[in-house]
Amino acid sequence: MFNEIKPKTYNDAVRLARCHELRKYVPAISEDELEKIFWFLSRDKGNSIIIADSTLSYNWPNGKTSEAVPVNTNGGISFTALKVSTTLFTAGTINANLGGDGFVASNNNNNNNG
Amino acid sequence: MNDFNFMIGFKPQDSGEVCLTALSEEAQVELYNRMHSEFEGSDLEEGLKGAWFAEFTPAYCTNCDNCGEKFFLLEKNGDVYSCVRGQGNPDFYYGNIYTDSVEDILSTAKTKIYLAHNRQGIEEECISCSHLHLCKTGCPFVKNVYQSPKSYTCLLQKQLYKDNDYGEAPENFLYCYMLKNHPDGAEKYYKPRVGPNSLPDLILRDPKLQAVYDPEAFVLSVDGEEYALRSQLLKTERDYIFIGKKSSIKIYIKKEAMDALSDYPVNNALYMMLLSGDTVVYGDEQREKQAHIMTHQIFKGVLESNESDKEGYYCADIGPLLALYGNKLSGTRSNNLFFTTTAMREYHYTKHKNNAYYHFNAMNLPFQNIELYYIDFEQEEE
Repeated sequence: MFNEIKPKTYNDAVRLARCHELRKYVPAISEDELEKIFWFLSRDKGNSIIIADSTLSYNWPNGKTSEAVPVNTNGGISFTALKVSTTLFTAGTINANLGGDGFVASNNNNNNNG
Repeated sequence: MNDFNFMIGFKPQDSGEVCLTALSEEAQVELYNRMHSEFEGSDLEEGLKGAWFAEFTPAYCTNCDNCGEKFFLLEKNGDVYSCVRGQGNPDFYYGNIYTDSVEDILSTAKTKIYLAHNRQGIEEECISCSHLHLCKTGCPFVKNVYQSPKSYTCLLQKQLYKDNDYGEAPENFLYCYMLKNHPDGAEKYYKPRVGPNSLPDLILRDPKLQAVYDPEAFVLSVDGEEYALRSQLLKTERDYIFIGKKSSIKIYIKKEAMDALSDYPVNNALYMMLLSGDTVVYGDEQREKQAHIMTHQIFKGVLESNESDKEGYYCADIGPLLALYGNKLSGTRSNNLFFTTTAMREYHYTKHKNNAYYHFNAMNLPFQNIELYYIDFEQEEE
């Protein structure tokens, strides 16, 4: 089970933290899927997973997809596409439906704070 | 006679089968051109310019974003497949209407077609093709037969699209298409609207703001991975870094950035702000904001004396500095690290006072940033 994974190394701890972060974006993702993601990312530095348009895909270092499964992306932090690998965690934030310039600031940190 | 349509054959998956010989792409175009020269001006012209080649027009299944969303073949036993091409093939089997829910069948269909397209990837030639919005790289079944990322009738389709006006690609088509079908890095295809007095417009009109928002001014290196930092107000994606006590973290500052907007660059400094993911409510607005943890400045003279392994950039090792504040960072909500210079920061606030549009657009901190977590775990060799 994902919740029972105990990191043995610093890199394990980082991968685990990335999976926990992923859950904030996709709260409906199952424990089994998270565990699978954790081990898939552990297998090769170039492996990555991408979630977009309610599809989770597992990708090899050459960018080609080995497996894709449907995923429910409702209820979490809003994103367009999410990519997680051993070295990256990137969430697309464009909201093309806004009708404006499409950019979205990531946090409340206004100027009289800075 | 004008109502039938052509389907171009493709080689069978099992080479042992007896099958029609597939036409080469060149032969397909030759056939198409010959038909034009033979039938233009005759009673058959209507078919030639319409139904005969309807398979390659935008409404057809082979030219959808994802045909699994709207095209299905139902067998009498309830099995659902993609189409006659995919019938009997487990990669194109979507489920059974008597045993599976409609919702499951639909999501399986969409996912299997996504996978079929992504087993082959997408070529740069297709991404830059002006007809991508019409062809969408073709039939996913045949692409897998040919192990090719592009349509087996590419040349013919290009000719057909040149001869008929199917209209331009809609706004941001490439971004939307890539996001849906090949989402890795789709953000780079996004083209923002630059409306009057929008932030991109204000930056475009003010060379000093261009210096403040320069996407190449600050590059962060974390354990060897480089991030070109962008203003959080302009970025199209959020990068998170996960750092620990022993992480190697360097900030590179473009040399021109230290001289920009400063009358006395010797007094200019790299200006870093660390904000917690945990929030506080204060000020006249009583707005919830990220709590401030640390502000740190490194003056130009110090940066000049540091060694840099990046051409055209000064370098500062900020790993030990961030480690000092590791236990102050939020463990549950992403923390924020901003970079600018004292001169750029000053210009930003001056512009804020002078231009209401800018004030409105740059309500949140506009500086280049990255989000981070601190992992409190002893580093070991893998």
